Amino acid sequence: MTTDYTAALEAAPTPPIPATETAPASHRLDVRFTGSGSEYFRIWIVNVLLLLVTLGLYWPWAKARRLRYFYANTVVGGHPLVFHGDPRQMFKGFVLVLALFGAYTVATNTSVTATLIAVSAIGVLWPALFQRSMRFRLGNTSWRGLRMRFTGSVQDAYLALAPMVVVGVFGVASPLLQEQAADNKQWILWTAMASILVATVVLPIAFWRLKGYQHRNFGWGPIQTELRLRLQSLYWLGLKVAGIYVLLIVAIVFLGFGVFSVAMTSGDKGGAASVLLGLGLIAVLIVVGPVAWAFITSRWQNLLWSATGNDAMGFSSALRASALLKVTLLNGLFLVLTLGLYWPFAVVAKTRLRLQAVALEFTTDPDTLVAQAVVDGGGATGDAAADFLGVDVGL
Amino acid sequence: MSQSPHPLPALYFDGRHARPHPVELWLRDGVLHVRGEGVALQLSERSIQWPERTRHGGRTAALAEGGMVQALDVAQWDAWVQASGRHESWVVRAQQNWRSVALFGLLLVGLLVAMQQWGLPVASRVLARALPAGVEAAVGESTLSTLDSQLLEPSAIAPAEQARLQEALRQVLPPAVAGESPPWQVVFRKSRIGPNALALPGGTIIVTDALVALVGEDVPVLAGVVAHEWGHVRHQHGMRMLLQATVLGAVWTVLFGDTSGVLASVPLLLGQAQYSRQAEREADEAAVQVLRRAKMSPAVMVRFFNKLADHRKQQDAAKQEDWSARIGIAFSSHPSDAERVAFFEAAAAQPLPSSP
Repeated sequence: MTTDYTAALEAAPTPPIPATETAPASHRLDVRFTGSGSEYFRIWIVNVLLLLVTLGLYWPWAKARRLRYFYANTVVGGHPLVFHGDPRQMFKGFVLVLALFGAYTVATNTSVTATLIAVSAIGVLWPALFQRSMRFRLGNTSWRGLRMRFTGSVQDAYLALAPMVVVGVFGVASPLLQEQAADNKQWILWTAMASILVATVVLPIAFWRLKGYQHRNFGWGPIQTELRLRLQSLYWLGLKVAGIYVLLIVAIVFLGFGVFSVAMTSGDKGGAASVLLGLGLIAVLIVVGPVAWAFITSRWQNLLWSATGNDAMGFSSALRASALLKVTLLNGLFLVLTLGLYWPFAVVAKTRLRLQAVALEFTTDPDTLVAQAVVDGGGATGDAAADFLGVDVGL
Repeated sequence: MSQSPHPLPALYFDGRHARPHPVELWLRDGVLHVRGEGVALQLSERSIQWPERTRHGGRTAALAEGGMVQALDVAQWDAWVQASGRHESWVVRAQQNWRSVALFGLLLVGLLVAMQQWGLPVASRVLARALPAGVEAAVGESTLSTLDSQLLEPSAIAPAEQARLQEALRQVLPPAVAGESPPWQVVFRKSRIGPNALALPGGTIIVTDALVALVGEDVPVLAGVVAHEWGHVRHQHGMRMLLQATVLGAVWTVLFGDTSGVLASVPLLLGQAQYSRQAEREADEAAVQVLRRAKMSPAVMVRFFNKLADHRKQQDAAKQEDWSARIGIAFSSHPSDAERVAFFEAAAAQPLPSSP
């Protein structure tokens, strides 16, 4: 009987496994930049002429047009961004920045004390201006009909940006004070040590706090981002950059030594070889800066944006340093060859590369998302922009 | 009044939900009608922020009530907007047309050249004259203290000798008269920069010990050199150069905000060098006037250049001597020595003004 049962069981066809509910595919949205260099060149030429003719007063309109073009060509998941900023409101911020810059220039040409006072005053004002300009910029950006917002407060701005202000003031003040101190050896030693400390330890902290403040307060619809970036990652990145510099300096030293020894030993016969080595040395020198910059920028962008998001959505950035380096070097070459006229093309090429490296992932269909109830009491989302000071300080 | 020949399919976002709704747009009698499933809006055409026409990029019109309409097909949108009778601004038309861009480009180059040759120098001259004297004096003091801490040391010339030279200079240079002649003072310094004289904003003229040694007993030559520096003070060249350099730098930043470093500095240097040569010529002319008024022949300056040439040969600096001519006059901050000698010789050939 058992054998019959077993045989029957073995003979029966296996029943189909009920299809388990596969996890809903997350919605991956890519970022495309559709702008063209030749078109931006046309916009840029007209902008520059109007700027000169109006002695610079046209600046807010020029900037608004540029932002509108770049936003309209930034297509996220098939829908473009929109810039709503009113140039007339931006004009107020523009005048403010001009006044501050003018006061600073006068102060630098007057005396050291005046410069220090001016720098400190700007340092004190900067976090408030930064917060205002972030609110303006984000509040005037929309995607899929929903406005973005910046939720950071002025108090948080001061707390988060304080290290950066300290670094900035120190950076300007220490060379000035060194001049004053002249031959005071101890003072020079102290300021040198302080500079090294600031550059290696404080600067990463300052950046981390600044970016944390920014990336924690981006809002769109019901979504507010966080920044899950560990301070150690910044130190690690700094270390890698230092490593690159060391490698390049070693390469330069080797090449330099090679040129020197060839020139010393071969005399006339070594002429061609030493010229080649010399050219190689120059090539490395030209390339050092862009290589380090391409590495830092791409790694920083990837680090920062891949850590931005929350449980509902996240960014990812996969910018390759080699691609960025190639674009940077080509841009530099064409800029020199065209005496600078290539600039609009260069900007478009760089922007395309950096934007298209970014992608968004939503756990729910973005179609279903709804605007956050407006809490700042500005009425309809369209009116909120008018509540802002309209200070866009060009960040 | 705008009238659409046919409706335009588009997407509507209500500003509260991220989902787009397909709609049709009509323009009739200055009113935009938006019709779709669950959407029926009538908005004044003027209250809408219409997007500008570009070859690339989306079109989104922001509505006053918080929503927006977005083009499904950009070319279709542009055609519909034009057919409905809406006009676009001349700026947009200029940007989208290569011929007008070429024209704008030419105008731009012309304007930049005019600014650099004429506009900027005139503006800086006016501004420098309008600045209160205290500002210039403050800039000069600050520059002097910087130079004293870096390049200059107290003079090694005996005080009695300094006083003698100062008295001789007072005989030649015009005294300060409000509105006519600027206040000036000569200070002596020892420096490794060799024989040189500098005029700072505010009227301080620095003369190096090496220059006094070069001139030797030929005090009229010293007077000529200081008269040239006085010319710089009279024309406020120091302040004007500072203002011009600041504006040039600002314009360059506006044009090429992103590029930095050497590429940006080259045209800046070229521009400033040209202003500087013009300033040197003006100072030479002022020196001639001062010398003639003091009944001295401008030929003293020719003697100065000869002494300078001898000095350079002695220093075995013959290699660097004419590098400015080789590298091209473009980068030199002074007109060539030959040009200046020719100028002074021509001035000396003219008869001195008859005695009163």
